[in-house]
Order: sequence, then structure tokens, then C-alpha cells
Amino acid sequence: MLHITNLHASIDGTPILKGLSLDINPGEIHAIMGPNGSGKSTLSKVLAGHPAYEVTEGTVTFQGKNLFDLSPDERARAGVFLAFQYPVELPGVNNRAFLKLAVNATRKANDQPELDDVAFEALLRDKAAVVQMDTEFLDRAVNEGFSGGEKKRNEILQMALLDPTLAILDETDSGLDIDALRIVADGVNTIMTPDKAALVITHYQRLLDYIKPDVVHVLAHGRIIKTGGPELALKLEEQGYDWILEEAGLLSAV
Amino acid sequence: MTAVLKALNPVEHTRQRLKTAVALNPFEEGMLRTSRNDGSETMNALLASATEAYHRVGFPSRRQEAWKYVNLSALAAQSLPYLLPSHFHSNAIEFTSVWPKEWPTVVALNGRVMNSPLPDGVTLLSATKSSPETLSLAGLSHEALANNDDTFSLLNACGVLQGHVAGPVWVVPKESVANGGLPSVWDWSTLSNEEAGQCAMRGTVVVEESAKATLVVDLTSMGFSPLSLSNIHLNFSVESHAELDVVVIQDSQTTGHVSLVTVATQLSAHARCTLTTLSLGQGLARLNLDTHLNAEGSEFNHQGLVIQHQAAQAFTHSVVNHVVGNTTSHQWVKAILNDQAKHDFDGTIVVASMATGASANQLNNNLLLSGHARALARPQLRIDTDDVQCSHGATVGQLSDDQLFYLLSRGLPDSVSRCLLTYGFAQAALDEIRHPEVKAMLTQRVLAALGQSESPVENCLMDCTQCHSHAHEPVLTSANR
Ligand SMILES: Nc1ncnc2c1ncn2[C@@H]1O[C@H](COP(=O)(O)OP(=O)(O)OP(=O)(O)O)[C@@H](O)[C@H]1O
Ligand SMILES: [Mg+2]
Repeated sequence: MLHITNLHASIDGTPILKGLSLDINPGEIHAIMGPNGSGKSTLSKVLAGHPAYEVTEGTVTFQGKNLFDLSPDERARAGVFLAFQYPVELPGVNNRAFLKLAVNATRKANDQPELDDVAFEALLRDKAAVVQMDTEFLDRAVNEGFSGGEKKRNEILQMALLDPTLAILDETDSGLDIDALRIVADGVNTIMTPDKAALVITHYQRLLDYIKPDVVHVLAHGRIIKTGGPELALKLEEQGYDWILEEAGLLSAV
Repeated sequence: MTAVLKALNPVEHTRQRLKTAVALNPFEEGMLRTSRNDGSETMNALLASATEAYHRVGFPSRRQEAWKYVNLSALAAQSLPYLLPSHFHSNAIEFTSVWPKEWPTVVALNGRVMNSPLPDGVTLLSATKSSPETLSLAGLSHEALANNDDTFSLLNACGVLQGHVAGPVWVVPKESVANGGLPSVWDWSTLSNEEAGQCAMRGTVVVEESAKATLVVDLTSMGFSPLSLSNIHLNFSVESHAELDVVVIQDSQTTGHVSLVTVATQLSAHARCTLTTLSLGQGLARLNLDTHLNAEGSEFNHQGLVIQHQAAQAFTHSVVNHVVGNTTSHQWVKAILNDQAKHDFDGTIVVASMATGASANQLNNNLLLSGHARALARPQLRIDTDDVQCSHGATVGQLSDDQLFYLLSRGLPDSVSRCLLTYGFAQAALDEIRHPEVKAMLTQRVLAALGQSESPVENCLMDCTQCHSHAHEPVLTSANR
């Protein structure tokens, strides 16, 4: 579904991704772990199309199409979703109205009829229940004054509503209480079907108890330096990154 | 700084004028010549005071700080006759109203009040019939005229004394509650194509002790004229423990239109005034706020929203005077500037000596939607005492890339995303409007104004059906509460 080959990307002239390759097949959940500053969020934003990042080399195809031919909103409507590590606040933009616009923009692009208020409310109630989000948050401005955890729940609510083909979660588990962690996992598990895929960025193996990854990658210095199964996450939790960095000959460079 | 560039204060300016005996420009000549001398003794005496004051003050010069960036040279170059009656029916105004239909309303059309009879509590200023007290509340006493150093306010006074200018006076009696609408429409289509003209209005509102009033003043200009002037003077007097919620809309859809609006507010002990201003259009719009917190416990809140496009120029000039201590003022002026529009915010907070415990804050945020739009902010504090809390600040910026990206990443097209963020920016300015219906209707007015520019917002209104229909309301948090 997603094929990343030798991806190089920089921000403000500083190279961050330096030859990253990764393949995700339908039905798979991939986890990416890696030290702070290694380029995980950069990867997620490059995939979503943030204009601040410049792709200098490499290719990314999504469902057979060149991802870089699509604008950020086209990518979203084609089924790529990014749950941000730091969701921004949008003062004055009503959350409910925003969610309805987003859902209908994607439906329209996929030749589905747009939802009217009644149908949308029903869908919204449904999905808000999955993330156990108080409807009070729907009447507020998007993320404004939300706590860290509430923002993350709002991301998962958006994911559940938009039902993406590829969900990228950037540290959605950071700053969540134990219950919320399960909610995030439930959110991912409810959207997962054999034709969907997820890329879960996390620092903690804990999340992977709830979302069972098929593949675990270690990203360091802008590249995938190790790939393994779920046991890799457990080993990282116990031993940290040094042994992998050493294996890759990168330790001295830290 | 060289002597030539240095701004002159009004007194210096006057001295300089007297010394050099400046000749009147064609505009002034036209204005002062129209003096009728067939009125009563009172009228003639007041008119003489106003004219004398005018000769002291004169036409604004760009060397005065308050008029620094306002180019009135086109105005100065010709004499502008007052507008003739419009062929319009006053009912035509109703559909634009942003207050509930059942509210008492005083309709002014081309400077003439159309109502008969007038709603309870409303009278019209007349040099012969109004009491000296009423004239004084409207700033038409010898003392007030002698102390007035605003050119256009003085010309407005001359106009009202001569009967060219509508002067509704609305008194809300002690301990009562009242709502009202004061729409004033200038229809320039009464002028032939090449003609220039002007129109004025002087509105006075007195909210007596412990009364509560909500008022919407809607100043709308329509039709075409190569050069037109509307000169509005509003006096709000809020007596002790009274509350006034007022919305002033300055809407000039006419290019070549100069809209000059002065709002003079006087607050007594524990009085509160919440003022929301909306400056829209594509001509030159200047809003001049002159606020006096005269007694302890008084409070002034101003939310201003400026939405300008094309080559429009907007000026917000404000002086908030904390005459005594334990007084509070908040001011938040937001401008959304598209195309080549400009906004100049020139706001001063004055805290008199001995006014301890005054609290004042002032904020000006400007959102530039085009690379050619410009904003200038000149917030100033003049504080003559120690124990005060004052803050002021200003920002000029564009839509945030990260906010935009967030919306794009949810599949919203670029135009819709920009439109949502722009509304979001505007929305806070409507937050203090307590009357839900007024707030909802004003929201529609704001949306319509945003839809008029050439750039993203218009595209949004075209593309996105949600944005186009009534369903727009929930887009803004305010309308949804
Ligand atoms: N504008 C910029 N100019 C230069 N370097 C930048 C810029 N923005 C980000 N970086 C750097 O890019 C690197 C990768 O950042 P990124 O956010 O992708 O890391 P991360 O792996 O997500 O880290 P974390 O685990 O802390 O979230 C960091 O070293 C960061 O400092
Ligand atoms: Mg990160």
C-alpha cells in the first residue's frame, strides 16, 4: 500500500531524512520507535505533505500513485490521515462544524453523498462514544484550551470519523492516562480492516500491548536502521537504543 | 527628528493657524457658507460658537498625529452639498437590519429621519425646540463647542444646528430596560454621476441611572459617487449604574466614500458600556473613539473588527481617558485586510494623575490575507500615576502555516481552510455581544463582508455550500453557544 524508497527530506536546508525506505502492505500495523530528534515526526509530516519540508530524493507511492503528486488535502481525501504529535489550536473554529466539513469533503471526493446534519450527528455520536469524548468538546473551538490528552482524543475522533486507509499516529499515546491509552488503541482497532494499514510512532512498548504491530522499525539519524517483529519493541524497552546504534555503527556519531 | 516632521498638538496647531491665517479650502468654504441666519437666537449663538471653534481648529493636517496617514486632499478640494432625499422607501432598509424586527427603530435616510411617530423616548434635535440640557448632551453647548477640537464633529454640529443633519436623541429612563435600532442609510444614487456629496448624522443616547439598553447603529452607504462623505457623530452618555451594549456598524460599499465616525462616550459611577464596532467596505473609513471614564467603578469594553478589501483604508483612532481611579477599560481591535487594504490603529490610554487603581488594556491584531495589505499599529500609554495596571500590544501577521496545514490534512480544500481560519480570527470580536439574535445576525454580516474580497474567502464562499448557506452559523463558536 505504501512504498517509501530512499527518502531524503530537509527542513530549512537541514537534511533530516537521509535515505529512508519502508513498505507497508494492506492489513498491517507498523510501529516506528527511535530516539528523540531522529526524524519520526518529520517522516509523518512529509507523508502528509507539510510545505515546510523539502523532499530532495526518493519516491513514495500510496496505492500505486505517486504521493508527491497530491496536495496535502488531496492526500487526506485519498485516505492518508495523520494524528499529530502536537495538534494545533484553532481559535474561533467550531469543532463540530469543522468535523462535518472534513467528513463531507472526503465523502464528496469519493463520490459518496454528503451527510446532512441528522446523519452527521448520528455518526458523530457513534464515534464520540468510541473515544469516550464528552460532547461538550464538540461545541468548543478546535483544540482550544483542550488538555494534552483531550487533544489526542480529538485526533482519534477525527481518525474514526474519516476512516482513513492509512493512519499515521505520531506519539498519540504520549501524555495519555491508562484509560485513554486503551481508547486510542480501540480507535485504531475499530478502523483496521484487511484493506487498511497503520503506522504507529511511539516511544513506549506499552501502547503495543493494545495495538499489536506486525512490524517494528527503529528510526535513527533519518533512516530505518533495524526492522523486526513485536519482540524488538520489548527488547528496546529493556535495553534502550545503544545496542542497535552500535550495531549500525552510529553510536560514536551521537 | 526635524522640526517639519514633528507632529503638532492641537494647541500648537491652532496657534500656527492663527498666525498664518490659513485661507479656507473649498470644502470648508462650502460648509461654513451654508450657514442659515434665519433661525432663533439660540441657534444663531450656538452656530456662532461652532463656527468660531471651527476657525480655531481648521481642516485636519497630516502633521497632526491623529490624522497622520489620512489623506483628505480630495475632500478638501471641493465643496460637498448635502444629499437630497432618496427615492427609496424606508422599508427597503429593513431587510438588512441586524436586530430583531420588533425593536423600536429610528430610520434615517439621506440624513432625514423617516419615522413618524418616533418611538418612545426619542426626540429630534432642534436648535429651537430642544432644551438646553438636551442640546448639551448632544455636545451642542457653548462650552462643549469651545472645547471641541475635532473638525468634523464641529462641521456636524453646524449641520445639525442648521437643520441639514438628523439628530435623534434617545433617552432610556431611569431603571428601565430598552432595545433599539438606529439604521442610517446614505443613498448616493440621488446624485448624478459626476457629482460629489455629503451626509451627516448626530445621534445621542442617554442611559439614565440604573437603566439597561441595547442599541445597534447601522451606518450604511450605498450607490455610487466619485466622492462622498458621511460624517457621523455619536454621543453615548451612560449614567450611574446604567449599562449600554452598543453595536456600531460602519459599512461603506461605495468606493470613493469617506466615512468618518466619532463615538464619544461618557461614563458615570459604576456605569458600563460595551461597544462593538464593525468597519467594513472599500472606501476610507475612520473610527474615532473618545471615551471618558469619569467616575469610580465605570467600565468600558470595546471590541472592534475591521474588514477591508481592495484599496480600502481604515483608521481606528481611540483615546480612552481614565479621568479617575478604579476604572476599567478593555479594548481589542482586530483587522482583516485583503488585497491592498490598509489599517492604521492609533490608540492611546490616558490615566490622569491621582487615578489610582485604574486598569486598562488594549490589543490590536491585524491579519493580512494578501501580500499587498498593510497594517500599522501605534498603541500609546500616557500615564500620570503609579498605581495602575495597564497593558497594550499589537500584532501583524498572516494565517499560520501550521493551522492551515492542520485543516488541509483533514481533507479541507485550501480555500475552505483559509476561510475557516479567517472566520476564526474575526469571531472573537463578536464575543461580547450579549444579545444572541444580534450576535447571530452580525455574524452573517461579517461573513458577507469576508465574502466580498477577491481572494481566498470568496472562493470559499463559492466552493463550499456549507459556507454559503445558513449552516454557516455553527462554523463560528459564538453563534453556536
Ligand atoms: N526548522 C528546522 N531547522 C533545522 N532542524 C529542524 C527544524 N525543525 C526540526 N528540526 C530538527 O529535525 C530533527 C527531527 O525532528 P523530529 O520532530 O522529526 O524528531 P522526532 O523523531 O519526531 O523526535 P521526538 O521523539 O522528540 O518527537 C530534530 O533534530 C529537530 O531539531
Ligand atoms: Mg516527534
